[in-house]
Amino acid sequence: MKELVNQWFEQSAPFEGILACGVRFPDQTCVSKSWTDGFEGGAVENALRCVVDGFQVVQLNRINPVRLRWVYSAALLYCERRQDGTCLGVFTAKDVESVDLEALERLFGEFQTVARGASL
Amino acid sequence: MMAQKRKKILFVDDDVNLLGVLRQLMGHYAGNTWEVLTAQDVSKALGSLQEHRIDLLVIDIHMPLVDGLQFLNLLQRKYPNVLKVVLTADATEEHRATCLSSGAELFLEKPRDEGGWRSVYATLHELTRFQQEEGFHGVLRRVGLQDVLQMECLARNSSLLKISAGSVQGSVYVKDGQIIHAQCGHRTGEDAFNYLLSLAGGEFDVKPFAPPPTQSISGSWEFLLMEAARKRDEEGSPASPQNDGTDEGFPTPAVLSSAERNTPAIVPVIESSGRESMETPMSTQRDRAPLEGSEPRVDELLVCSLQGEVLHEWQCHNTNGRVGFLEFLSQKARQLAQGLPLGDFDRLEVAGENCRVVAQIQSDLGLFVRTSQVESSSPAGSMQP
Repeated sequence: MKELVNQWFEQSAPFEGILACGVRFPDQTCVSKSWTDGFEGGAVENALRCVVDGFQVVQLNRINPVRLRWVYSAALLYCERRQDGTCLGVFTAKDVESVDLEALERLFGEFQTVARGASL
Repeated sequence: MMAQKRKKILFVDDDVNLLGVLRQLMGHYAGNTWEVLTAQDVSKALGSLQEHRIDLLVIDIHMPLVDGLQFLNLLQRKYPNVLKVVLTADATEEHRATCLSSGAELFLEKPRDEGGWRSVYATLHELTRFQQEEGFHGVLRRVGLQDVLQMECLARNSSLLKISAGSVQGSVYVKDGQIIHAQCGHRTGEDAFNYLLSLAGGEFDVKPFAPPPTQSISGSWEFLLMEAARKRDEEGSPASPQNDGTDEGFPTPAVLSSAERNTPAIVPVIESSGRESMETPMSTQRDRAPLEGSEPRVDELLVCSLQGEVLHEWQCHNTNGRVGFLEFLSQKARQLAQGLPLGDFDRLEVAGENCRVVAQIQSDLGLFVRTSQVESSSPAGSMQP
């Protein structure tokens, strides 16, 4: 599974408004890509670690999360988690008018379906 | 090359042999960059926390008397900004979720070989790289100014507490464990001290000691704290910054009418214009379809101060859980943004399977709103859960 998700992630193309994105696997490894200065790999991976914690704690509050959106004054972070625990985080510009939302949906849709059923 | 400050890492575990191994291994991996401290139980760990400025605490779960989970909760109240990691052989999902919601940054399983320990070191090292900037900037949930002053005095510290609430700004000077000066606007001495301790809420920073302009207080700190508490009790409700005449202040329970406490006075509309609402683009293609022909209904609402004081709640059946969630969010959002140009945190939006949640953190308030979708034909404003 990990290899297939990795492959998909490597091949995924950037879209309008995306700043950076990353995947965190259940074995705690990460891959990330950035198209904007300031979104260095280490910092994106740190953010993904927090995202995973966020999913856990939301669930602890008896809310079954489909998607989280962290809203900051300068950017947004969209996150989804697969059933196998793999997380995708996508940083976009704050102004959603400048973001290709269809491409964002497509990215999450692919993330949820790629290698579904394959084992780690 | 400039010498870097050594990070102080404290391992707390009742297994003495393991602590010995940790000192050796972590010291070896970290070279001169870490000072590895160990404590066999919680009371020794608390001693170390008073004695040293600890950068990272690594805690075992199963310990006699006070276990790791209880210790985490204690730390969360007393030392909210110290990084905490749980390292345990009992790595269940239940423990993991509990530890993370109790303030642990990470939940790690004790490894069984040296390669595993190297990974643990690498993870901890990475975490300390993102440590917060100097100074105290925490959530004050259930930790009063009185508690902090007491800790500073008991530890015989010298420090300067900068206090702010609305536009009220004040300072308390502690030297060698004695409170020597307080100032707040035109007030000085015990008058300022008592006023600051009567504030309903706010923020404080513990700064390095700087000599005060004058020494206005000479009594013992125990007496001062007792007197302040007595005065606060005598005067009833805590002082609101509005009382000072010049402040905008912030709401306290006393400000909210009983009617406000019992009705959903706040509608979860965070931004009123533009596409950046909770509906778009948080509504994913997958979850949008079933919601057509429906409208949002507020199911639960909670507003609290960052001291964890509930200011307003409506249909909230797990108040402590929600306050804990906002506290977690306040810390995690800051941690998430470290090293990234994200700006200030505003809120977390959760699109759930059957509900939506907005959790917003502002400078002095936390807001939690849960909504669900009801069929348009349902009576508008239905409040049934």
